[in-house]
Amino acid sequence: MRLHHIGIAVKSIRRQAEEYKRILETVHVSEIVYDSVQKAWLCMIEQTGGSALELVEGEPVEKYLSKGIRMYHMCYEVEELETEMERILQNGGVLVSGPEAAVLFDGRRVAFLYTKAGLIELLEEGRKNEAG
Amino acid sequence: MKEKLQDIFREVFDDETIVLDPQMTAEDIEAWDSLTHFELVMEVETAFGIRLTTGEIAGLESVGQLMELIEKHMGK
Repeated sequence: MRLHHIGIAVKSIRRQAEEYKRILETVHVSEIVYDSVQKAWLCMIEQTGGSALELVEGEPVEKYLSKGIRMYHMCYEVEELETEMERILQNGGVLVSGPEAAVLFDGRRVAFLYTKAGLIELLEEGRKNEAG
Repeated sequence: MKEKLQDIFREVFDDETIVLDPQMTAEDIEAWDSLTHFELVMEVETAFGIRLTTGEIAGLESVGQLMELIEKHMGK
């Protein structure tokens, strides 16, 4: 289980991506893609040093933005998605959505869980979703 | 059970004046939104030792519904 990225709620993904490129040392900025499952526009920004930020625009983050919350989820890459999900659920977490194939990660499955540590996204390692 | 649930609502929504009524919905509690909804469910699950399904969580709209779900899962 390793930190993959931090999710950032934004009003305008295009404008914010430009700002991040100006302010941060970025090594790669992905295309802006629409995830019909999450109903959100997404863009991954990889920084020098290996950290990454996921910009998210749309319905799922409107409530966060209205409360002034920008950083709203942490994503961890895991070997066994179901195993990690179950471990978090056993420790008081609540499944918000998933597991579902994520367009931003070439069909790798993700699940969102609400926990005492905030909203956590689990991303399965490498293996692609056979169904998707 | 109602008293325990009321304590949870007061804690989650940070409002000591909340008095639960089965008819009560998110419309009646200003702070009950899509974000606090999951916090509420998490606290309920922990307090009552139950686990709601994703469908039950998504369809949960009133205090009465929540009380029924707690009873259903505790009765299992």
